[in-house]
Amino acid sequence: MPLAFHTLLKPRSQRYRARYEAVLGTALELQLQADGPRQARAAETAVLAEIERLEGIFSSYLPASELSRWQARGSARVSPELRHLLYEAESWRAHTYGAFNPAAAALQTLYAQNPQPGEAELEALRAALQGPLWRLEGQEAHKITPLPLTFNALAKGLIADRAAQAALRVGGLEVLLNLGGDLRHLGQQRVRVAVAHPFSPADNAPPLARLWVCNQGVATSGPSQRGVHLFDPRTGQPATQVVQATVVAPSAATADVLATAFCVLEPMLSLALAEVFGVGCLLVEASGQTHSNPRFEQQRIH
Amino acid sequence: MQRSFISRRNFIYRTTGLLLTLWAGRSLAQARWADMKLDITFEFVGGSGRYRPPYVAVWLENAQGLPVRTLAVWFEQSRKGPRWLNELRRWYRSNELTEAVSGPTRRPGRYTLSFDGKDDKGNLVSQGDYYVCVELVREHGPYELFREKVTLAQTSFNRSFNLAGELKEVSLSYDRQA
Repeated sequence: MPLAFHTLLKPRSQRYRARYEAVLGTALELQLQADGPRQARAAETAVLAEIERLEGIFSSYLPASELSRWQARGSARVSPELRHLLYEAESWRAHTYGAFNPAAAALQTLYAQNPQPGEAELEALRAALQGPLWRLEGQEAHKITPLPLTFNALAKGLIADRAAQAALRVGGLEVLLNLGGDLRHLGQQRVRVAVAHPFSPADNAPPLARLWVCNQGVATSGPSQRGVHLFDPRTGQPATQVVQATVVAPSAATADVLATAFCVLEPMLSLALAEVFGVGCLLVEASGQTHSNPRFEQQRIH
Repeated sequence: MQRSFISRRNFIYRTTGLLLTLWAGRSLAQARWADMKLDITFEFVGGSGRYRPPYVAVWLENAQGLPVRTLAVWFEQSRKGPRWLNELRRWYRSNELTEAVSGPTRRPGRYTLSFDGKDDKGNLVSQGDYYVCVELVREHGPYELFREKVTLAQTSFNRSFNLAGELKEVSLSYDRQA
């Protein structure tokens, strides 16, 4: 009975699942494969601690976060994490032709105050959005623009990546972390991921698509949960052509920032950029027409 | 030897029989589900900071109070893991992580479940009165039951209920299927 002995001695890894509400303003679902309950609990604690730590740096909602304090002061020595975020944000802004812009929240504020803003007002804001936003000098960061900066479209993915890695460090064997729709998987066994349907967003509605994901991040952007909140920083107009964009990338941070940019960019430009960055994407236009690239189709479950 | 033919009398008898059957069937059958859907949106709230979701069940009962369709049963495993359930190895698929959903950033504690007129067996139900039930409980915590009678027929409606407990709001939207 060598086989039976082997199975008795070797601990069978088991899956664990934990859900939390009101994490980073959304819901958190953590799934783990671990050798036992103790390892699973340690991994869960590590995930929550890492999310809380990074929220204290990146959050634009918490007045005491490092980002908020830096913005209030205008220039300061910043932590390596915040410097990395600023560096990444600047580079993504250039790579997406300005479709991702950390100052774009100013457009949302403007439209919330006045759904039909004047042309002069809009032109001034457009010009401010095109200008330099900050300057990095060694460990110092100087804010140049007077516009408030938010990094949610990049930070949430970044936090998902780091939190998943934290789980792996303390005994998680396979990790699947879902931060309100932005996912990160780490492990050897591929997992199934469903993409929510933009036109029937009920939680039990059939998904738009399903795909296999392994060691990757998946993010989806669109107005189906929070209404129109995406504006084109290049034109200052609400982004209405694309109603949902999903990106599968090597990291959740890349997936997150590109999903936001692809909601703003013309679909053909998004598809071209997806090839440049080597990511899979699935776009849905307001007309119902969908576009995907070969890389997405390779992972799709039919 | 029997010969098969349609005589005039035979024809009249058969046609009358068929018409009687159709008429009886029509009066017996209730109006079928009319291509509508009912969206049940509910929101629960926690205190400040992150919180574990409560146990939630959402289902529909018919006018007699019998369950027709279960839309959700959400429960959390204990801190000791999914005890005993995972011993059902094939069914629990203990070596696989379950499917996750990627979508636009969701609001915490707010969920929508759609009822497409099918019962638990997948058969279309008939039009009529139903109860929408949302039951919520937390260990050593509150117990709440929302149970509201609605008429699911040809007329669409939108109704919203503001509640005082952890279950803060339930809204029902009944409309044509898109």
